[in-house]
Amino acid sequence: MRRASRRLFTFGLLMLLSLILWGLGSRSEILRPVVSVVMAPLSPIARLLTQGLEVADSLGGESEDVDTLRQRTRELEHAVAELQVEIVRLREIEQDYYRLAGLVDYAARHPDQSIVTADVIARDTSSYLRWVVINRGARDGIKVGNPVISDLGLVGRVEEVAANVAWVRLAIDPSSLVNARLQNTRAEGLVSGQLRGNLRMERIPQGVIIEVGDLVITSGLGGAFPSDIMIGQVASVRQQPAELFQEAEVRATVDFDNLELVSVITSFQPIDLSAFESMIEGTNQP
Amino acid sequence: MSLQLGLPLFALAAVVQGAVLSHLRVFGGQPDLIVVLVIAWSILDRDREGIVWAFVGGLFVDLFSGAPLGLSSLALLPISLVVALTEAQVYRTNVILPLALVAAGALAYHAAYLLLLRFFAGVAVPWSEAVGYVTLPSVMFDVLLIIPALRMLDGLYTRLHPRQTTI
Repeated sequence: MRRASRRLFTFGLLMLLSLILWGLGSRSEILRPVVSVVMAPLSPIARLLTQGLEVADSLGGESEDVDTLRQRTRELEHAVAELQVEIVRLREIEQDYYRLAGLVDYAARHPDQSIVTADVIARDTSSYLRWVVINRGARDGIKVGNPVISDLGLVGRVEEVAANVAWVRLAIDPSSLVNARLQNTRAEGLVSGQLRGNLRMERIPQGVIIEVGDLVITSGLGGAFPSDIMIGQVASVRQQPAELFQEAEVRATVDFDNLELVSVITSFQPIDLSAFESMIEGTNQP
Repeated sequence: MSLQLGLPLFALAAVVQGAVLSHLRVFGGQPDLIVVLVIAWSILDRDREGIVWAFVGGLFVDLFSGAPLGLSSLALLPISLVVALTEAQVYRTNVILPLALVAAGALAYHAAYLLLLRFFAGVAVPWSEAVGYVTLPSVMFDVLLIIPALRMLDGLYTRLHPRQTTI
């Protein structure tokens, strides 16, 4: 009896403690130093394990033909994706040139960006979320809101930072939303992550002609991400005449299952919209 | 299990789960090493340690996740409490019981996790898709992991709590 009540007391106490921790939030200033201290020894171990896994992967692949072919396919896919990124860049330059007729200097639109390269040291321990942990943090100048890219396009956004690590919400996370546009038509929409690890572009106005293979890039609207970062390619289109908008499934150019190295744009300052939200709330009050 | 032993063990398990086991995906499911370890320890434990490790393990899981700190502990604590009620040494004579316990425990954990995620963390995960694509494959992984986990922890438990005999 005494054991049962002691157990229940411990249970209640720990539930309360969990609720308090949740309430404080891991991003809070109170918990950040503690999280940094805990992550300091764990981050190198995670990095070591991830690197060991990569080495094991590459060693295992050499001896088997099927794996060699898979590797070759991956390399070719990688090359195709790189070429697509190059095409996007060139098309953007071309369109900028014609649209702005030399009024805007391309270099001026992309001021010197400072970038921090980081290794992915762990993936989300929850199967329902798609985040990764990287081995760079506040000490390297990384801040919450910094966009994260790879050589193939948009990866996600920094959501939490400790001294030596940062947590990145991937674009394929179910709660991720990115303002995007179709490169050919300039039509805008929202790219959201899906549980299955794919992307869906929503809120595309009816009447816009979308073709399979159209390239999807960030629009820069909302100020959360810089514009013109490659997201993916339209894989299929869903159009219902009765609905206001149409949707498109997007095949990401970034291989989120094999992310190893990412770059964080530390010079990018996301626009803080909270001031506008409070203004709107203020005007709504009687 | 003392804190000096338990903390590094669960920290290492969380690192392994985030850095290695997260690559072993079947559909969207991956092994929940910490959940399995907590259930295994709760099966073995005669006192209240399973509950403490559910709390600690949950925190380590959340450290390598985008979920709010404390969410996994909240989902794990009730499961650990219920499993500990079985007071089991029975698993030694019955192979099915730990399998059934971990299957039920992991299912309950995922259900609680999804509920907390949806209603309190504001992450809208579609239920039907989540169950078929993530939950069931994860539970299958967990069922496969429980026997080696129990064997490993039983050895540890026996060393830490040697059985007393009266001569």
